[in-house]
Amino acid sequence: MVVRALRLLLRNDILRLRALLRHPTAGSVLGIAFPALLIIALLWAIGPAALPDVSDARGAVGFGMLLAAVPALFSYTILFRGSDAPFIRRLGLPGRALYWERSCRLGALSGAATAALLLPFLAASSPLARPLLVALSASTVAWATSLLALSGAARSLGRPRQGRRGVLSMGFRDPELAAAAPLVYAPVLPLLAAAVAAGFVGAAPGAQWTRLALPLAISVLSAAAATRLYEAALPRFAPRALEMAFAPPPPADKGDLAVGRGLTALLPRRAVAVWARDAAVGGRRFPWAARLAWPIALIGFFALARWGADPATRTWVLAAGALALVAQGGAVVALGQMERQGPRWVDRALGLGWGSRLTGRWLWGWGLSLWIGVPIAVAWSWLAGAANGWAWLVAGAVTAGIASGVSVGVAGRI
Amino acid sequence: MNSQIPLEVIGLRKAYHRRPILRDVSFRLNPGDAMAVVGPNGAGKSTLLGCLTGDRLPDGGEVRACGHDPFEDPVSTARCMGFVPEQPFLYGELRVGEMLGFVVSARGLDSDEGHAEIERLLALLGLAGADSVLCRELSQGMGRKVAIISALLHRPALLVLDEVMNGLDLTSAEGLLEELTTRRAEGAAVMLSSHDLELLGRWCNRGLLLAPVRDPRLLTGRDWQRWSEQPTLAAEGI
Repeated sequence: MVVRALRLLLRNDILRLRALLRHPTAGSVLGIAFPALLIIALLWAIGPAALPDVSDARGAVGFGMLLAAVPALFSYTILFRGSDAPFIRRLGLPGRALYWERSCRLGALSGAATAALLLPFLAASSPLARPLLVALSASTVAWATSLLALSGAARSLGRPRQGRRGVLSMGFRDPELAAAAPLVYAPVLPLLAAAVAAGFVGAAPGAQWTRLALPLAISVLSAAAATRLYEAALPRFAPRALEMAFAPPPPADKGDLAVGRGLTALLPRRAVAVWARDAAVGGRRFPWAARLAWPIALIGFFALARWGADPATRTWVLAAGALALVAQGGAVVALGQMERQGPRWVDRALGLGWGSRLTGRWLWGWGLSLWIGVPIAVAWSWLAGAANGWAWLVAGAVTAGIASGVSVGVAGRI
Repeated sequence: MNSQIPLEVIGLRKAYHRRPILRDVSFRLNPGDAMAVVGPNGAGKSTLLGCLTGDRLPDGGEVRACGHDPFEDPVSTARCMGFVPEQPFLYGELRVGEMLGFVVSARGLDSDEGHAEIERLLALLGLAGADSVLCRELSQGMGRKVAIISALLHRPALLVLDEVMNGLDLTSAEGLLEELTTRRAEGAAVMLSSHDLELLGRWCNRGLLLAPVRDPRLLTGRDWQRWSEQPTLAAEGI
């Protein structure tokens, strides 16, 4: 029954993918195809200049962790937040079939990330065997341990232990967040496991393919062990995951929407209204987009102030900052996807044009990026002695511009 | 617990952010019963239906659909139940025919019989010939009709319908009620949530009145008759 259901689910995925290619929507073109092409073009263009060094174990560990970030960060969404998951459950398809189908989706995403990160080697006509070996071991282990870590965390959350808090919940003031601590820390396991796997493969000189056997065996065992955990967790955890998606109401003393104060009085009023609305809605729905700026900005500032002269430090700050900007862009795009579910009628009813919507959303996106861009630009120029600190502000504006365009496009016609 | 009883609920409780929504809800639906779930906005109607179908995790109490716990045995529960949520899910990229074909396969129904049933229900709900339309191009009412057909195809013993009449034209609504009446006569139990109190009073044979901050009130027999003569959201005076 499981095999039949799995075959049915995979066939349905292929059918949907084919239908999407046959009848593409503006949302799919702007939200998937355009960013994918942009990333490929960027990797191809700047890849040769920023080629990851995988010649020794240390470099392999870094490359492996970079690859592991994709399955580690997307596994929760893919495993537990699929829009069709409740529908599939109501059809009576077994959880085990759903697990393997979601695993295939995560595997496909992980494979795509691996292929993308190998592009710079292709662009530079550099030997591919060793990076491919490291990438395969890291991404396979990251994929499998993501499945295991997330399924295990979901299983533990599906069994509420009244009054008992594990060591993982230390430091969380919010009781609901404390209760979800295993889930918060779950992505750490695939990152560490991928680093170990990449280090193990990378410790040997050249490309010793026999070394791939151990990571592969661990992956198969992890993915198989996760099956039962996922199946047991799904009925109780899936509804909890849905409830956890609801943002708690903001504190009463948190300011109301303010339009036309300070410098914003100089901007078109409609665009500023959209900005204020997007900042309030986006800030409450995706609070992580603002929160992630602080650690990146603080650590980046400190690292540049202390070791800014070292090119390796600047590269790491650049990579972390770029990732954070991309993540913030993701929040801007997600707001558009949220609008697509319904709220876009508000803008239609208010007569807001695409110009105001685009400008307002861009202002929100750029404002978010400034929390990262300004401190790092200051440290980059004045403390690290590099000349092009202003580029951080431009990069934030460009990222926000692309994300806003995609967001408004994804929201669809209003 | 008896597998012949389509639905049995005992002491169901649910709170959001420590605010109780459902307090000690208990009732039983026998074959052929139709229960109206009535209450103002925010009373917990959709939450109750979600707890029955496994979409919401209750804080306490028991739910048995044909004797199966939706959180312990979701596969058997799904066989017993057909559910139309307030916001139905459809694969926007698929055509109506493909979407319903997927449901037939997933339910393990005989292909020929399943497709014949699809044709019959499409015609009944005024969607004849719509198999080739992409689901994302359907209007709200048409999308709901496809979701209704998905829930009816496997002839479940329990139908849970949340605001199912929303967006349906009069002819389709009458067709649906006719179909539901037939299903009841065949032994299916129906739970129907709606703001159309007249319809609920006319068509159901029992009711559950929900209100914020109040205990639920189960109306059967004479209480239900009195309520159905003058349907109201208030529980007082019944």
